[in-house]
Amino acid sequence: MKLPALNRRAFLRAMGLVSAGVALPAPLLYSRGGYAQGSIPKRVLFFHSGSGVSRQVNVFRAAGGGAATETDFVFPEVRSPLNAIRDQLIAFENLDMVSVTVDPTSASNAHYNGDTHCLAATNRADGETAGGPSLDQYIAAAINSPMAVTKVPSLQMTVQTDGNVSGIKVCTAGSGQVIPLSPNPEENYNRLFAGFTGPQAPPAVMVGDSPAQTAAKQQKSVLDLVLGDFDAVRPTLGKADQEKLDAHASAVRDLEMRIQVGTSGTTGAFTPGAGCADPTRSILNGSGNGYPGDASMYRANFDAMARIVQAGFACDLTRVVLMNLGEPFGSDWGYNSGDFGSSDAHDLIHKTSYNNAGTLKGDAGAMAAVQRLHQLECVQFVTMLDLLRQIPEADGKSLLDHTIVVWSSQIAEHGHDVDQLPWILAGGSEAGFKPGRFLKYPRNGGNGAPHNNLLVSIAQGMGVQLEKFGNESVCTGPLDRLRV
Amino acid sequence: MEAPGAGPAPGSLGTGNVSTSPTGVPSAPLGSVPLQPAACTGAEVPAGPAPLTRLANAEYRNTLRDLFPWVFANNVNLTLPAEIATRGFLNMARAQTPSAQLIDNLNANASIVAAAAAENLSLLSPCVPANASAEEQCGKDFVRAILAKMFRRPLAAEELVKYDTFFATARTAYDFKTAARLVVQALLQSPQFLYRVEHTLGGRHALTDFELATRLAYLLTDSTPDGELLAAAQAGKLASDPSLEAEVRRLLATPRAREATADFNRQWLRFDRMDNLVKAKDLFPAFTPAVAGDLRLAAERFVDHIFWDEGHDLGSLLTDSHAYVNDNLAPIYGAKSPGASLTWAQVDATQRSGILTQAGLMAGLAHERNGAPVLRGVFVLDRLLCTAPPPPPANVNTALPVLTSDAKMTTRQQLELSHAAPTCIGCHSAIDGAGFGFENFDALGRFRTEEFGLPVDPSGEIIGSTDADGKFNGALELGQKLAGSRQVGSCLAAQWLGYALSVTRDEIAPCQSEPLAQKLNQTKDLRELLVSLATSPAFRYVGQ
Repeated sequence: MKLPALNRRAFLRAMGLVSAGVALPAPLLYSRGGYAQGSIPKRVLFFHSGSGVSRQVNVFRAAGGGAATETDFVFPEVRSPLNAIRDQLIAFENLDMVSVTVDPTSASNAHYNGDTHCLAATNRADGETAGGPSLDQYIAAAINSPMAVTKVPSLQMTVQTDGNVSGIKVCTAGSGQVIPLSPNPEENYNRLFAGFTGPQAPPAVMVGDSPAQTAAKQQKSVLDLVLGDFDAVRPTLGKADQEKLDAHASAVRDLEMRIQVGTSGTTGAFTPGAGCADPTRSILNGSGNGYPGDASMYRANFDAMARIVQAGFACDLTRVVLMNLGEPFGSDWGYNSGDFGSSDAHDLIHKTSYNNAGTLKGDAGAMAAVQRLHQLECVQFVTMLDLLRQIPEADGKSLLDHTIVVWSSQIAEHGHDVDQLPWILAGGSEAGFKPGRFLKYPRNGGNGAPHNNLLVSIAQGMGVQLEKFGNESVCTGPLDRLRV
Repeated sequence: MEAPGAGPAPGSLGTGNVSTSPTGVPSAPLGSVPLQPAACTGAEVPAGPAPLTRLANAEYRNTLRDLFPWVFANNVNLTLPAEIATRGFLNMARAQTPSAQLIDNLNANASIVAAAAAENLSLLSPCVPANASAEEQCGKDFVRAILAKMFRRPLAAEELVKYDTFFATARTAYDFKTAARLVVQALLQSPQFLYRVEHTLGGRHALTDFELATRLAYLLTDSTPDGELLAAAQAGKLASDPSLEAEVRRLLATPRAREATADFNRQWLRFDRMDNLVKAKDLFPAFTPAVAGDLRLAAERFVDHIFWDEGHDLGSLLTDSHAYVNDNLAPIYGAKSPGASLTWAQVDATQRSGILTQAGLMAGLAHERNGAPVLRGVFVLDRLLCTAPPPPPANVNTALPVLTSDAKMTTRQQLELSHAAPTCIGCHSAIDGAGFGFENFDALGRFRTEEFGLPVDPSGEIIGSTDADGKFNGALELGQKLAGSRQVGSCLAAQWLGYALSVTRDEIAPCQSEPLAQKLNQTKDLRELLVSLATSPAFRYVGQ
């Protein structure tokens, strides 16, 4: 079975080769009837990218020119693919990583400066590691406590063709506790869909155990024994070692609960409806990790991961995903090493910074090249949102309405700055977010609104009760005017 | 059950390692804070840091391979999350995070390996029950044998009761094979297997013989202790200096020791920089993935050859003028090709100086088009002299000026221009001072005397060291300078000891690593460094 080449079409559209209004092919869904039961859960997707947007070209205007207002705004050309879905997005001006400015530990390079704060927003543990949990992990822990509600608490993936993820430290379980992102679509597919039997009404009569039920029973007895070993070791250790061991034991207990939540792959807390289907292994065609990799493998990885997010949320196998967008291949946005005197894409991006060292910021060709890159990323974002919108929920709304999507980035601008973040929110209308707005915040004492506040609002949208997140000295509560 | 989406009570977060303040904002747990090195005051060398350490990915895989060789005779697909490097090293205890993915992977791996292991009961168990009456005793024999192997130590009575009971209960529900499988499945997820559990509480004291055996095995063989080592521990031989040293030398002579030291060398020398090399097609049309693979392999084999076959001498590592060459690499070295397979060959001794100028390393410390003097300089300072400079200020734009065809400047000249700013020059005088010494090497590791038609200037200066400071001209003189520096020996000793204890070199006290460094600096012998390390007090003692 061949899946529609969603992303390729989207790429073409970005390049202006296909008009924007053409509907994408419908996803392959197996209708299983309407079993949806229970209140529809909220989900959150962190769509994360490395580069920000050069400030000189990231300026919002009103549709008819002039200053943008809350409801009358147009994305700049560099992000033009977002204009078609502007009414579903929330854009910001003067949103800053204020927590960076008060961090006493300097970052060990300029990229770790933002990497350690973008989703953790608190003082670093050391020069390259965040000093607290990233929001995705915080939310995943919160909503799966005291009982696991999904098969997998969260996925953390990265779209790239090589397997080298050692330098990506955006995702943390706690201070200094980096969680590696997974670059392999198949691994993530297996984590969610191995043994998945689909949403089903429970059989009326049980005669003996199914193989899956036997396996689950055996797993429980094995993990009980393992947890007993944790208890036996614990008293022999010092405090720091106990904490480390406790974290591991706690994760094993979580696994035990997750195994028990049901052999259908769903928890029973919410039974998904007609939108849920195993996307099947065919979504993995062409995907993988390898050297040297190529643009087609990159696109296949993006397609597969986007489908995994869509189906994973639709089937309620997880409610939290961090999906990092590795840099697309130059051949997909018309760039070759050496163009404009730049060494590689990273070098080109830095050189198109608006600041004084941005030696190519006045070069029309170089600016056009990075504009194509950013437009391509926008198309990837739109593609992801389309996939979520295609899934119906039992209340007549779409999966996107029940999913808070935040496009976060490691830096704000091509020169490593972390103020005036170009972040965007989408979806989540059922979580209190009112889309179709441009929110401009005042600058106080040189700082805009702290991004900690945005993180608080996202957590609250997910139903997590907290008033502050990250560094409390800069966080003042939920972001003003964001949720209604 | 709490409604989905309801907030957690303070302190109730499910995935652990997140403690919460009263406002619900997570704070740093103790275990994540870097340790301060021990104070070097008393007459005794303080015990080394001993954080609870989980087997590194390579150690875990090797351990499974060595415990269940019949399983791994076939291709077994084990999944683990990638490891996050801390200062270039992948085995740091502090970075080990029990993510849900890790726990899921360990669980899945345990199911796969246990099922395959139990398929051959006669290899898994010391006995296979011939009839029902033999089962009870055989079950106990199996439990004793497998626990001892997987826990790497003698067993406590209560452990045996616990596992005997589990086996017996499982046997009532399933057959013997299934009960054996479930025992293995549990052991593969037990902290006693996954962690190197040591008794570190209390004042300074020696590790038990079995704890030391486990440390030795993972340091010197990257795997679980073999039968001889466990027997030596059982016989109390590791407590005496001569028989401990004999055991260390025995382990160093095993093939596994080559793998284990290669694993350290790859991390120490940042061979990860050679992964996924990309070079500009227009400048390097002959560069292919096959060339990239050979560049890395040749550099690894160079270090391996020096370490094991060519005098195991630190000086040679930095100055030897050989390389592994084949059809792919000969053009890069300007050498005659010995054929398709990598062969140890003399290369131009006026150009090449040990690992420093291996084409793979030079290509790794480079960009797509240019060499990278900053990366090369940081490599020398950080990996060889342990004087890593602080990072650039956050908002510095680190892009090089744009090259145009009439730029009339070498990479060095451009860097000198942009680093002249007062905020840059403080650190860059030391970084570039070392890095400019490699200006004779292009982005592929080829020797050159010109760049953009201009003569290159490979003169440099070491700044900020204890005994290597001063000017030099080119990589050969730099290699000589480093080979003669005691600081390089100290730096290597501290990194080896940190690696052995799963902490960064900053957590090692000078009085712990300096005795090793002194011996290394006398002998220059890289292998003897491991003997000194494995027999040193910092390695054998724990507690404060």
